[in-house]
Amino acid sequence: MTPLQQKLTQITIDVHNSATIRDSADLDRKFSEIGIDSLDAMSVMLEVMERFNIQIPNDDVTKLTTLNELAGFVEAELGRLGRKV
Amino acid sequence: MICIAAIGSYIPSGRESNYSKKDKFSLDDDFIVRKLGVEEVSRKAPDEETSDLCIKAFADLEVRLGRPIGGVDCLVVCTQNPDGAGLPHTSAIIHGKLGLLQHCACFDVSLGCSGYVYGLSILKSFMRDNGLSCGVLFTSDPYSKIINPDDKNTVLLFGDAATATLLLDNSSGGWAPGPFLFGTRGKDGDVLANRNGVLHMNGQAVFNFSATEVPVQVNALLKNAGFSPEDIDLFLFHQGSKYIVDTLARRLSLPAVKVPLNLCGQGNTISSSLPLLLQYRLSDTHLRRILLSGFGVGLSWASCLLVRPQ
Repeated sequence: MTPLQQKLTQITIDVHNSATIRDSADLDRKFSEIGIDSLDAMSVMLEVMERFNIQIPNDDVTKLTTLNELAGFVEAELGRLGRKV
Repeated sequence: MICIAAIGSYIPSGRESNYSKKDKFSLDDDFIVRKLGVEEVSRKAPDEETSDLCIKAFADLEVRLGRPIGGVDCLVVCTQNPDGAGLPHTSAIIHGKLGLLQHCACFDVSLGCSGYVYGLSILKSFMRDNGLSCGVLFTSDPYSKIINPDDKNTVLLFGDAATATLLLDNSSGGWAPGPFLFGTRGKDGDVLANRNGVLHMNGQAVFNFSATEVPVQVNALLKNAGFSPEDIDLFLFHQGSKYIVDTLARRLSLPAVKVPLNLCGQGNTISSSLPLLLQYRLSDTHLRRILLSGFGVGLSWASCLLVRPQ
């Protein structure tokens, strides 16, 4: 995993400690498939916004359904802001 | 000193079970119990009006008080789903139904889940400034009037209820409200709104707002009042869902025993959720200080302390 993927994995486990993220293949599974329901996903999004000091527009939230999709968004947003992970 | 003397309530007997909606919305029991915290939502009868719920809450208030309430000189109703189209104001309709005296001041307040805290401040100030001694704050916001039964974001959460809070001047053994803090983020108000008669809620946006703004306001209120969290006996949060209440407790590092829940049998009752939590605790002599915090429609949020005078 990349450092960003590791951070997002840790955030997800902090939100819900029984989330099942065993290897990098789980990063492409839907949140619901790794034990993150819709409410936990809201907490993950909020934690990501706070820890990376970025905004995830409401319209984008529903499109981010896996950790890798979320990682892609965070990476692009940090790049746009000229910041590193 | 103007204090809360008693709270009455009315929860309609109609119920919709969230378990009956498991297939429709792909829910499991764990999500209903541990995340929503709502097993059933209360529903008023089709012919029950917002004011009817208040009249029944007032009757319960008199039962709890153990005597008829005479001399009401101010009546405030917090609702955004008033009788009819809101004209005349619901407080005047209640005034008529209760047969109150002509000198009684009556007005409605249009607020959602922050409305109870606002209402306490408004009624306390109005009574003090006008030399009034007996005020009643009603909350009654039956969202069943505007809920789309096919909207998972709202139909599983919101229930109907009404409360009536009696404020008396020189009340012995009552609870003194204040200090207060208020907040508004009007630019984001469309995330929880009535559009053409139907309630719409963006759950992520409301969650983000609640989880970030409420802890800041709670900490500011404590700091302004010179208290630490340990000095507060109970933290009563608006019962948006079990998940948001748990999230607030976690982000404020509060022990679960100090953050009670009351959602399971009726759901999120908007401005009634705080007085429903509070009513059974008013007579608990072990309690000295309670913090209330309501948040939602507006976006609006408001917090206050309740202190039992020594």
